[in-house]
Amino acid sequence: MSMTIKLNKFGKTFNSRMSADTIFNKVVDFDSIIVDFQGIDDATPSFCHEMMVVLQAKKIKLETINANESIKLQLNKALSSI
Amino acid sequence: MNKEIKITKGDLGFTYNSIKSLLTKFGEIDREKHKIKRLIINFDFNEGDGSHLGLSLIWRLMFALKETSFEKLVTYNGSTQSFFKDRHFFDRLVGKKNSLRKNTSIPIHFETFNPSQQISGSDASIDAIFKEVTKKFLDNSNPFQAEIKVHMLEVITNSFDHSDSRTEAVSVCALDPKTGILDFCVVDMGQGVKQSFLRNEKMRKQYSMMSDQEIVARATDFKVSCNPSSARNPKYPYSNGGIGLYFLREFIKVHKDCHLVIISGKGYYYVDSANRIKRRNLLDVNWSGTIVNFRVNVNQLRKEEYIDICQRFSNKD
Repeated sequence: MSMTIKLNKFGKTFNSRMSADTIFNKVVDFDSIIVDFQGIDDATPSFCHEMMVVLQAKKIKLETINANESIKLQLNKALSSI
Repeated sequence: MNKEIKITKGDLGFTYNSIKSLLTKFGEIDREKHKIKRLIINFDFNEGDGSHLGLSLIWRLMFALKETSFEKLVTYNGSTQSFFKDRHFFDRLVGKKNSLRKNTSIPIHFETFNPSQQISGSDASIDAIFKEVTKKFLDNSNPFQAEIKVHMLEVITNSFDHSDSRTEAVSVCALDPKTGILDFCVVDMGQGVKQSFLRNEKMRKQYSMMSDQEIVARATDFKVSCNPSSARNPKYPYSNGGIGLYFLREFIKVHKDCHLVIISGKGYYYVDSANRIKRRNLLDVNWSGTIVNFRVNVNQLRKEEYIDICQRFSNKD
């Protein structure tokens, strides 16, 4: 079972680990999720890293879509340290 | 007793000697505060002298003096008077003004925030701190400047997540439009880098033998981070990434006209575009907290080399 999370429902800028924790810790009973970055201006590598480790701990596969170039770079940084 | 100190151009730099000099002067006040009846601080430098790291420190230290009972007098020489008066520096010190946002020749933004007041979903509050700064100084459509913004957000987020500071932290951002040099600094009076590391039981043994100067350098290494459980939010069950300061360091190293300074306890760490690295011990002075300052020239392109570094380890399934 999969679901899509549209981040723009939560804000436009995502900085902290805590906000990733707040959003993604609620995700349960899914095999995979798609995180849609449409309309998101900024996300820090800390936010991206927390998103990844929270989902990894739940064994939920992550796919990201519509990330701008800057956010793609932050996702790569986060992935580096997983 | 009357105590007088003079803050000169030499106290305002980001260099080891400047930091030591400034902290020595404020250290004298701290040591003698029970005897002081009247403190006279003479600002004797011109606008544009020194770095905004020095100004950030003065700002935070002056802010700390609010708690003291002795009479405080500030005198000005040179163009310092207009510099501080335009920004209501002294008014802010005595609590008459809440912020310093007036435009002058060098756009500068002073802000204070309290890292202990982070609550879940506080990105909006962090964003509020920087919205004005980034809007004024950086073009988000420019990849290089967008990356600077990310580093600024990371540094401020680190202060919220790791400083454990119960008192206000200070951030200063300034851009010189003539040179394109952007100076950004966050100063907190929290637990400092070493204490943050030591609160991790798994890391305590490894780091307890290290000096502050080794610790602050180590904090910029890849995948090195403090224990998330040392963060105020004890529910963090996952390990941190150790990526924020590492990628900032790499960013500084590969682009021109940049430097990064980190100070915590007695540790002083400096790295610049030429990959000059300085690790020093502040010896008889220290900073109880953490200072992160970086300076970049905004008028350049983001280098492919930096993108390669960011992607170096990420080719995983």
